Amino acid sequence: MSEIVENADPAAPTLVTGSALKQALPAALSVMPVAMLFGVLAARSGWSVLDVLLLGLLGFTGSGQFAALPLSESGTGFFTLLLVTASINCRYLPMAISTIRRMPRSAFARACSAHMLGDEAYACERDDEPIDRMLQIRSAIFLTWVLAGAFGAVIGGVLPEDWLSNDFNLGFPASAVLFYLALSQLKARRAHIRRHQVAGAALIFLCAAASLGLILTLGPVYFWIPGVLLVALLLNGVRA
Amino acid sequence: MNGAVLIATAALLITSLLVRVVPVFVSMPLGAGGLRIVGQILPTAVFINLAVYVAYSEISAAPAAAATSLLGVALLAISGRVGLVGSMLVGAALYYTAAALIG
Repeated sequence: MSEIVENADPAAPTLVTGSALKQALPAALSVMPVAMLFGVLAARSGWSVLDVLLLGLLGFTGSGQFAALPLSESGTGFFTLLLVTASINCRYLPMAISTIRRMPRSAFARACSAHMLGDEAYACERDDEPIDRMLQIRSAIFLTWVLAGAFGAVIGGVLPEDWLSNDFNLGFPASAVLFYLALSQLKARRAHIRRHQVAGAALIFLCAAASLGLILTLGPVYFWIPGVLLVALLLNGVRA
Repeated sequence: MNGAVLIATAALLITSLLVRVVPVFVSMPLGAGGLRIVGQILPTAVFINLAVYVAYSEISAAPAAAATSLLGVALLAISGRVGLVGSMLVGAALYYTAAALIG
């Protein structure tokens, strides 16, 4: 696999072959079973393959898609659905804001790359990721999710009703990948948090405890924005 | 595409526009402090919350299996000796084995 990345001039053309895909591959593979599970469940609810494909392309939100499925099945209205899915996915707000500096200048490319931002892509990317490489990482994970969902819808109609026990957690590998990526990013950023190793680790534990407290208080859907703000305040306060 | 699917698709598309697309078009004049917050503090805060959220979600569903597996994944991530794929495989193996043994 060859790679030519010209970082000296941001305006210079950047050619990345293979290695961006290699970087995104583990995360892309890990979301496949989850996306397929979504496709299977959607097919069971009477959705066509085209429905699942379009929802994946236009409404790529992972957990938001899983939440929307039973709600739409029960006839929930548009604004209720919007409120629920926006609440679940509000974690993307700080992610999007923190990636503005590495976004393409073209409005269309910028909108597409923002739409394709997911947890796994965000955790895979580096702060100094070149634009082309970032787009490749996001596209790889996004397309894997969309196509695996459609494939899940195809097989959803073929599999018997009791093909898989409800107790079998297909989503765990994706959680393990997210957990690994989040910890790796924190490890890499530890120097920015605090120069002393022990103090840095203690601060991360304090922030984690604060985040857990908010999850227990507000629930795992509504804790995101307060959680990110509280932890950012703690980190910024200690640094200042 | 029936009405329910259309409503779900529209709601998710607008969600994506609100939480991901619109924020990257809003220009904010940031000083050195603002850049540090957006570039360093905010991503770190997101990753801490993400790690806690994943651990909470999985441990709530299957306490022993998830705790065992995520502890293994955390040790591998901190040591950095095994890559992402290896860590995912070890984590998944630990999880499904523990879940099968414990029930």
